[in-house]
Amino acid sequence: MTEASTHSRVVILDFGSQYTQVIARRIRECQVYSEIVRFDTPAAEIAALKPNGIILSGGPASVYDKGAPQIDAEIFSLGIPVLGICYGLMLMAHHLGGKVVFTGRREYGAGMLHINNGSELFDGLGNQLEVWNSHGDEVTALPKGFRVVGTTEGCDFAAVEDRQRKVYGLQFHPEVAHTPRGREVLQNFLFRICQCAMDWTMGSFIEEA
Amino acid sequence: MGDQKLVLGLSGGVDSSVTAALLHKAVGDQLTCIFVNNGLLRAREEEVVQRVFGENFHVRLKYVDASERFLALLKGVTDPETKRKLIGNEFIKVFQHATEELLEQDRQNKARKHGGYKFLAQGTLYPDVIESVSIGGNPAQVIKTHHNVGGLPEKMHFELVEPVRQLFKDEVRQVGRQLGLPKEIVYRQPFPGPGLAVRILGEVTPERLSILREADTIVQSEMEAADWYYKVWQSFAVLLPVQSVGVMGDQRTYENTVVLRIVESQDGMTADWVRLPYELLARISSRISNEVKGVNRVCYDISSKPPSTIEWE
Repeated sequence: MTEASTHSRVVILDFGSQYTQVIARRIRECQVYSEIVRFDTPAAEIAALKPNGIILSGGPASVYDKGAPQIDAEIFSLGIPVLGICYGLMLMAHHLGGKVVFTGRREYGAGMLHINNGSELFDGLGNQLEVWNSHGDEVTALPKGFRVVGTTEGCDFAAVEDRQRKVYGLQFHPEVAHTPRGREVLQNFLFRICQCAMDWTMGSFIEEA
Repeated sequence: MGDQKLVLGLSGGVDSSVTAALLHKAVGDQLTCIFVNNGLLRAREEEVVQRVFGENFHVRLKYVDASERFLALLKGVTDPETKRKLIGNEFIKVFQHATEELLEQDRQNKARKHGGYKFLAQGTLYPDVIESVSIGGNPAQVIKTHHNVGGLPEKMHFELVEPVRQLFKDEVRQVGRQLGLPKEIVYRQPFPGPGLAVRILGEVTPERLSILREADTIVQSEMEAADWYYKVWQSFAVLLPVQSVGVMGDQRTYENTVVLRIVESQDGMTADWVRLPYELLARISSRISNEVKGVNRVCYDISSKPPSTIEWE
């Protein structure tokens, strides 16, 4: 690993999603370097990697399950932008004072996100986005400082943000191929919010290897 | 690797074919491919695979007909995970036996190198790994055991070589194109390692295999004739352990149900059912119930992944 590398980098915390490697692949396709680390990596270790941004993957657990993988909540106070996807969003809500419950309103497969409140995450995407879901639990109350920036038929908190803290959450999966414009959502996170540079190409991979 | 030799489990699909092409570049004739007929293949698949392989590769290929062994093993088994694990274990036994035969042949043929077969290569892909095991201590759940990952026995004599383990299928296809493999290999639809065993829900018997093979052949030929085969990710038939009442020529029937599963996907990680033209669906349906004895009902699976998976088991 090139610790002294001057690349932009994104750290992905893996909570056991089927899609963790898909997230990494999408970021690679945006020519940004990413690293997948265990879900319980301490905040100090993550800070030492000097990432431009942090992504929390989805996962099969419910946040309130016994033994559910938890996060070092200090991560939210590092001043580094965080994007929580699905389980990642629920962890965020759970740890920052919101509420997550199993409401019985499950969403799987195709859905439509209604975008409002002009989040940077959805810049250039208009007011509707086809999205792909896979969740049973949902967030029912937001932590202080958060606001809703997108809803779906089955979820009132499908996209949320706390601009001050630069913490963002998505209930749907922007990384999967079946969210057709998901790549643009990730690009907004990488380039507008995290200020990443497009400096990770196969060329630089070969040079450094 | 030195003098050691390598066997590769070839299925004829893009993953193992690309793996074979890559390894052949790397180790030349230290590579031997083994194609096992597990009795769970599609109609005439063993002929097609051997023909296509012979036309495109200059690698030694050993064909092993182990169909009776596999079918005997699956007798009475209905649990999907048990099926997958039994098949994975049996594959390894068959490979071990086949490499012993290869060694014996090598001894008699002075031209070949004399090292043992220490390595087993497989075309394992990233999605196989994701669905089968948790990685790097992450808390992922096992969705289904892929025969080449979680289905392998803990103790085996081989060391595994899996050069495309980090790739998704569309990436493997890019590699295949770069290596100059033909379209019929590179864009062949994915087919599960445990074969038709996971498309026959409930017990796998020779009779049910033959019903499913006939239905599957109709699906493939109609998809190809209508120019849809390469437009979709997968198109296949599933045989349910469900009988229902029908009426054929004024006679009451009480027979099997076949499900059509036709999905589009980019990487196999998420998928959606294909909005196939009604005319094509109608044609496939009527051909199956007319031509396949033992089937009186055809259904179309309109579930996405998630919540369903592409295969039924």
